Amino acid sequence: MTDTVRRRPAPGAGDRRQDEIRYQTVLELSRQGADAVPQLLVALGDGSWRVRRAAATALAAQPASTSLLAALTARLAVADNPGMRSAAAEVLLGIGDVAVAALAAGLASADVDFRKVVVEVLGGIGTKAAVAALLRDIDDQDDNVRSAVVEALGRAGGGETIELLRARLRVGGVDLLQRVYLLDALGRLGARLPWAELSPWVEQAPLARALLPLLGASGDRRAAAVLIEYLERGATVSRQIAVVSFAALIDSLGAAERAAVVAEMVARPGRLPAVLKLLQSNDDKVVAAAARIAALFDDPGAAPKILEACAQGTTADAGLRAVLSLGPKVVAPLLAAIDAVDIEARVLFLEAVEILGDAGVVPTLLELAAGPETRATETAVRVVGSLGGVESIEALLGLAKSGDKEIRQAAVMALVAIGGRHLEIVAERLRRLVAGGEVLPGWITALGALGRDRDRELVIGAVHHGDPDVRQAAIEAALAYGRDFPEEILAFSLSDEQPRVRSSAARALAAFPTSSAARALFAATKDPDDFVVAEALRGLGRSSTPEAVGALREGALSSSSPIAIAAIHSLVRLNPPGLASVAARAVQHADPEVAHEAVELALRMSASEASEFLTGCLSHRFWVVRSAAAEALLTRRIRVPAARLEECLQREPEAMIRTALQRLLLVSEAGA
Amino acid sequence: MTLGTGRAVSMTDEEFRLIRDLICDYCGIYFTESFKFLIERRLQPRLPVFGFVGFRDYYRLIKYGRDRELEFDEIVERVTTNETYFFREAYQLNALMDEVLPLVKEGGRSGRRLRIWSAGCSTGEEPYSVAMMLEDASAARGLAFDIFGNDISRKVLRTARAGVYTQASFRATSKEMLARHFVADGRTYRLADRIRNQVSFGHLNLVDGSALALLAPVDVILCRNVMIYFDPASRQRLIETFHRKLRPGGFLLLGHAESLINESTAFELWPLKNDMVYRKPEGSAPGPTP
Repeated sequence: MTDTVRRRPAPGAGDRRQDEIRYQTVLELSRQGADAVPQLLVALGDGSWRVRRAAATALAAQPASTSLLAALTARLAVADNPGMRSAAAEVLLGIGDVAVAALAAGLASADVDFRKVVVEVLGGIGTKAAVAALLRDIDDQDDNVRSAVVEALGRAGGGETIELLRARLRVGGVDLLQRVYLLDALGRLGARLPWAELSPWVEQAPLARALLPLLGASGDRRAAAVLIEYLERGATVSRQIAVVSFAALIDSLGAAERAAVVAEMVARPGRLPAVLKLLQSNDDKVVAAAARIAALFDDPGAAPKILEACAQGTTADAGLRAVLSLGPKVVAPLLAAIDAVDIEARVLFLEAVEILGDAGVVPTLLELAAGPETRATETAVRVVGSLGGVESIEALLGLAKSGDKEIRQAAVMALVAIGGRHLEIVAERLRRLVAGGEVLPGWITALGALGRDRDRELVIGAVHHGDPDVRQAAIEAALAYGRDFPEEILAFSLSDEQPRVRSSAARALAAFPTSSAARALFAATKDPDDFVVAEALRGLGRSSTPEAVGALREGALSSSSPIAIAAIHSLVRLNPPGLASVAARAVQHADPEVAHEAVELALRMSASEASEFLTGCLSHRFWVVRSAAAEALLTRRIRVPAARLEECLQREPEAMIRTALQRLLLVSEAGA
Repeated sequence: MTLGTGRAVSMTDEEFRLIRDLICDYCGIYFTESFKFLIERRLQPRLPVFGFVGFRDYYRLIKYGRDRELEFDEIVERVTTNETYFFREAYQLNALMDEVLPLVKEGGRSGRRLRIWSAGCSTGEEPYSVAMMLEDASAARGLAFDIFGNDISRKVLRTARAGVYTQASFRATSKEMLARHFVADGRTYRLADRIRNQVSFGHLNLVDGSALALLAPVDVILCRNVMIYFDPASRQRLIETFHRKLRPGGFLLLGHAESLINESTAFELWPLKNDMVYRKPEGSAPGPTP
């Protein structure tokens, strides 16, 4: 084994043990309050990332005293321990605005590296006070610090900063690097500069990457020629920026100018390959813009490339919009290329064909429906439903009997879609099949969805079929007929030996507002199957008899989650008195989803009850409950004392909930 | 089946997180927030199938539903990239034939069948590529092989077992191999039964320890571009499983962008002419890995 390379020797068990001991010590220190701060500051420079991280978390939770802020800021100057420097920066960023004064004091230091780190942290904090501190240092003696200030302002500045940066761009004597940072910062701040301020720099290639976004935002058609030039002949990154900027430019122009700029772009069809090449970018923004610009060339042959490139990322909709803008002429090239692309692209191709195609493509779609991958074939079948006519019926009937469940479902849905346009023909065909003894669940589902009165008896008859799938399909079809379906047949089906048939029967019975249906549903709440009970309780949400309410109260406290959720849902609907006590108990359920549902009950409580209940929920152990409670407080415009919200905000680890709490704080402050 | 409307429904951040975590619990595949759009887009078509108007109901279906396993199958097929093709990363398959096989052959008892496992085989192109290449590999002469592929998606396994492929699966296949092993059938190509019968497929969730316990020791594991989807804890468990399932001296082949750096020290990194693979050291005891 001499030629074996062990890539990473295992760390000594002793090292790992020592790391763990220090980590546990920091966790212990984090529980000791302000007295532990000196030791935590030492731990900030530990060799182990885990220990530093734990120390940073603990320090961020300490009150931001002047001495702590000064100590943290001082650690930004320690160049020989980058781990400590990063950890201190992380704590200061977490503390935010309160740390600005201490950081700003650091800008007076003679240490250039230190000033640069301070500037970066101020940029990260990004509050008004931080921006003001940065603006004060914009004339820093050191080139690198000045550039860092401009870059930080690009992340944090506002309108006032834009004006200041513009003014600096106009003055002479600014070196090239500074100018790059100025243009870049202005671009990131979303500045819209007039052509006159940008045109002096278009000949300077090193400025291109920073300048192009500003040209795109300029709203001036003269910028188009520069963007086209870079798009065609620039380096890869410049071309990527140019295409995004060109897309932004055409969005900002009026109709006539946009048409002129587009004409300028497509005047040379040879530019299309350059744009298509950008579809290979890893940046979704570039891909989306390239898809849009490629479509401007009105070449249907580009459609498969556009959709293939857009199929994987977040750009599917952008790709689809671009291709749809080319119109029906893309259908043939898309279908010609479909076998050569992967499954996601194939699905996207078919979505485009569904919107742009016509009945002429149905034979090709039916060929694709016989293909090997289920999802693309399912989509092909669905598109047959959208585009096909009566000539597709037999093929779909064949597919609805195929071995694959998803294809069978898709074929039934397609038959129903065609039935929407040719009701009598599709329904009659299905009726003949059922009457001839071919009683398949799909036929019954489709007949129910088509909903002809004359087929009702046929569907009712299927409730007694020997195949439970058919019985279930018939009962679910009953939902389409509503109260025209015999209630007693559904009630009888609550005794079916198959739980899923009984579940469907309970769901269908919910449509009947009769006392007999309520009695049947009440009886079904004793079913041994949880899902049947849940459906019955859901159905009882329309019945306010004391028995029903009693069953719902009991169900809301069930240990079975589906039962508890259904019962709470129905209680919200019925709104009987005394919901607060049910909510208080249900919110303690072991399953977060049940506890979350219990928060919904607050919608029916009085303002004072809801306020007490929801405010309590802000400290719940499940994040879904805290999140729902914060949203419910916002929805009901209940004001929570600011001190309580501040307390929750300090403890809340979830960003999503912190945002809701901050909105609540605004409501609270507005009220005060 | 319910026939609902096909309106586009958006997924809230909370719904994304709940569904994402449930998927991760089920199969170890983890999606960061940046995948929300993709998850929303690919699961949206499932809502009308159940008559749902929002993703919360869908979440409850996959959390509590009677047929939740079946729906997870559907989800996994939709949210993972099943993109694969014959002879993908051919340099690695060549290394398997020319360098790994002779080593495995040398270490094995004479007369024993060599076992090759394609873990996360998707629609079967990888194990079939191995079967086709073994026909020509000189190191394979006189040896008997068991090749098997597994995937968590029953749908992709159906395609794998059928052995019928579209043009997209042949982007790295020579005309000669295509002609030797496939028969054109309309828009598709059917794999010769001779090759198809050499590969067995099975449904297996790679994070399901009890199902994996049934798997006998193997000589070579191919798990290429699968672990990248897993959360760190599931990845760790999977690596430990691979270590347990490999015979001492057996090889683990990962995708070109994957490695065990910071994941495990239980394997040796084994340099080949054009590739790096991992080997379970000779003399390693079966059982839990260090």
